[in-house]
Amino acid sequence: MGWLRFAFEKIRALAGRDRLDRELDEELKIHLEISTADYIARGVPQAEARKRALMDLGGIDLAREIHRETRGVPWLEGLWQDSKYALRALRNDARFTVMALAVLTLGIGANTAVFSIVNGVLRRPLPYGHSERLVSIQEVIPQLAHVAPVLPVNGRHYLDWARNARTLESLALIRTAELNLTGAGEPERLQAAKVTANLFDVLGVPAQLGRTLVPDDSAREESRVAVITDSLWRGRFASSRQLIGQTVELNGAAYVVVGVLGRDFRPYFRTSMNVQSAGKYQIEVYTPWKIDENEWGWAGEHNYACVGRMKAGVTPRQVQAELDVLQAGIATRFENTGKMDLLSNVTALQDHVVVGSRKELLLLLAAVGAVLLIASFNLGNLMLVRALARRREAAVRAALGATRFRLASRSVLEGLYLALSAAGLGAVLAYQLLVWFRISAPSGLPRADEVSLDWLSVLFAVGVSLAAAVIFGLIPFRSLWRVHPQEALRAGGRSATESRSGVLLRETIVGIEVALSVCLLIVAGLLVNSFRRLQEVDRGFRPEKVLTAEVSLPATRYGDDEKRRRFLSELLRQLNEQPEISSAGVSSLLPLRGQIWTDIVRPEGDKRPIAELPIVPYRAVSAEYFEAMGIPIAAGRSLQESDYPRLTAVISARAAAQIWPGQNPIGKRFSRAMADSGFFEVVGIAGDVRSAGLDLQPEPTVYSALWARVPRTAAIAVRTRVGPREAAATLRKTVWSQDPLVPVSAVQTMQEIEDDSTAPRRFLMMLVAGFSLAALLIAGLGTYSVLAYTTSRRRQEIGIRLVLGASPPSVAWMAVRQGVVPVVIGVAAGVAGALALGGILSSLLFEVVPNDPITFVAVTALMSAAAGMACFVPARRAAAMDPAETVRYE
Amino acid sequence: MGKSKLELLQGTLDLLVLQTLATMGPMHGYGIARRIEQVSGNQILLNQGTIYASLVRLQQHGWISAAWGASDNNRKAKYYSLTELGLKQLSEERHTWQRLNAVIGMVLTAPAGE
Repeated sequence: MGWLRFAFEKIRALAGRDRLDRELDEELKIHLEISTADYIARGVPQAEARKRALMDLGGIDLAREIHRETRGVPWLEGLWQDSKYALRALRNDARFTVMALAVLTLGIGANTAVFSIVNGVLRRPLPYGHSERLVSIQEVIPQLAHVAPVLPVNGRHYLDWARNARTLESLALIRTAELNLTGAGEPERLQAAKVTANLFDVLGVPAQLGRTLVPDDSAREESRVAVITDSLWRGRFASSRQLIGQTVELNGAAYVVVGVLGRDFRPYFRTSMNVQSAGKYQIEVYTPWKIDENEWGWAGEHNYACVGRMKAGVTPRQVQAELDVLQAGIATRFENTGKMDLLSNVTALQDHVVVGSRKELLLLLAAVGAVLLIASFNLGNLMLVRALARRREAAVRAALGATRFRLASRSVLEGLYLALSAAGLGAVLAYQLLVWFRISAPSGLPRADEVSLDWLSVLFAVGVSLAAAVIFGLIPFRSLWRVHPQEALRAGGRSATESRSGVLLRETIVGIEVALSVCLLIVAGLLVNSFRRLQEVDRGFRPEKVLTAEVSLPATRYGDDEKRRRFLSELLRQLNEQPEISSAGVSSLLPLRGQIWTDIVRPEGDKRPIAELPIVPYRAVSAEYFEAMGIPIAAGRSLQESDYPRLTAVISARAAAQIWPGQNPIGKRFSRAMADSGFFEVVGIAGDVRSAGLDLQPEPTVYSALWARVPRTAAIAVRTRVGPREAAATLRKTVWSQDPLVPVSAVQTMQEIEDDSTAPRRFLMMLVAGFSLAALLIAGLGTYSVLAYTTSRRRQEIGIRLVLGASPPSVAWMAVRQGVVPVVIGVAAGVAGALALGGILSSLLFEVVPNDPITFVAVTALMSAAAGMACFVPARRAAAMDPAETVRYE
Repeated sequence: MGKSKLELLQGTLDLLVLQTLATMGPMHGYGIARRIEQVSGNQILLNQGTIYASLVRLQQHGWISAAWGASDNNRKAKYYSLTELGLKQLSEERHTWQRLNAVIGMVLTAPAGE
């Protein structure tokens, strides 16, 4: 308790300084009066008495000083004073302060934003209960690994695991589909999922309203109940709390809405094997699924997603080991497949979700960190210059007894003020940057919408700003450490040369800045080059002027192939008659949308088991599809309407080479996996299309005639005469003129689809390029400022040389020669660094090697030009000096 | 040594001030200083100004309290008096001081070979 009171008294003393000073003065006055009176009483004359009283007191000022020291907390007060000084110094040198604050805020803000992104995507747990115990389970068939490294799950296998796996607490199976929501308002097509009723228990998520699914929902029969997401509830049903218990119409059937999921819920499971489509899956409706074992065979039919919850203390590897044993047992039941092994692939769900983004994000973090590092070093150099200018003041203080601590504290405090203000402003900037990011992030980046500024980000901002403050606060500190008062106070103090190590320090800093910038620029250059190559690659189709849309034919009115075929056939006929449209076609799938549908090709007469037959992506297309998409027919002919009802097909060049190597495939026949689907006749060969991704090899594709198996959802591709967007209205009108209840969705130009597919690459490239240009600018400014300062310090020397007959160019060269050395070393170091990083980068590049000489040369040239410009002004100033003036000055 | 005045340590000055107030009751700064000088037979070299530093420290610990009052000649002066806490502190410190004294005395007078 005593210390508490003590502390309290100290605070009071600090707060009431003036009052206490006055009281003491009063006391001292009285003290002297009484003391003098005493002396007088003893017979000492007045003047002498006063003098003796003063002597006894020991001096008023001394009394005041030790009183002040005793009652306060001297080091704290000293610090307080220094901090006021620091603030004043910052205010006086407003130009420096504003610039430093601006640079720091940008650096810290950008770093905090990128950190938040990395944190939100990579580190933060998924929005499920105990998400670290969740795993994604896929299947692996080694013999097919060249086509598909992992496969979705077969329903019968799932049941086997659910019954026998002991490492797993529970398992759920998910089947994605699209449903038409009708009834209240416009018809809308929704992404939906049919799931085993235990899904939400496996995930560990509650409903925010009503309930999630329960086992009863699929025990005896499939209940017509639905659980919807928060976004659908808000968007379509206006957050009505009365929704629970009401019915909605899905694909013509009535479903009762029993629950609404929480706002944070995200569906991180996918059936597609393509990473790209992950972000696009926004499942809005969940309905229960009664699994009927007999619905599937043991082999094939890998169509569903599977999520499991591990028991406590189990690792994904253990689960995979156990499942592999079960899989081996399942494989023994395969019939007529030939040698086909079956394994599993079990990954922690979070890894499964973010795979493919980790490297890019970490690269971003490194790039933005490098920019801040460069900025901090730059500021350090500038503060060094300021500190040198104040050497005299520091020398005086040192002579008066200031400790090193106090000498350093002013510049450290300046640094702290700058850093902490920048941290605050930077956090605000980061918040804005994240808002922009959530809107414009490429859809390929998973969890982008979960990114936000949380307490960890703020902590990061403060931490980073303190680290920056340490860097640029300590740089001048080091030089002030050795202050020789006599030297600095000498009359000609200005011409006192800096210590050798001080100059070396500054040059090292410039070298480091240049090295980091060069390294970053090279990385950016490689990414830009990569992206350029990607844009120029031969796609196999021509996206300009192509508009696409999806139509979904409701099962109630278009239940069989024939009805659908007639609808689509008539639709295409009408579309092809429109003046704005030059050709219109239909396909089950469009390229670059991350969708895939594969099947076996069994050439006629080929009796090999299934495992040995080629597995190839299939499309069901109409006759004009190739024309609409601009896919060339290399041999034979395209499909034609008149082929109906014969089953014809066009195959891509690669498919031809794979299925009938060395032969002419035209005229040959093949069947699909389902032997009863009949034989197709190959009538033409089409050019290869990069349908999986522009940066991937073209896939072999079989384009079968549309009427062989008419899809329920079809993609329409129209080549327009006018701009593609203008044709959208015509497209809709034509569809609805045939049937107003058919939803038309996903209206996009083919170019937009293509841009979407390259968006992640473009995003990364633009950010890294932006950062590298910022780095270049800052490093260039840093070089310039150091050179300018050095040149001005050597004015006298330069003047003397000029007087002695040196030519201006030689003097200019001498002035900047010092500055060139660190730049050259920096460039060399940066190049070496970039070469070392090469291996890591290669997976991010497309058709560009990590040591691409053109990029290296270009960046070196750019940096040399920048350094040259930075040197130019000081050099010119040196050459233009009037010798008479500089010698006279001083 | 004789008549040379001994220099005082800060801590011991605090103790002397407390003792003075305990013996003499409330006094002002000058009075305390004079009293210490007198009682020590002028052997203690006292920079009178340091009294006030000592007084402020004792106040902050709560061992003395201060109040403005009138002196004998009706002069306004700041009077300091011992608090209960201070009385306790005084007896503790006296104890410590005496023990210290005894121990040092033992060391200083210990014969060789012990």
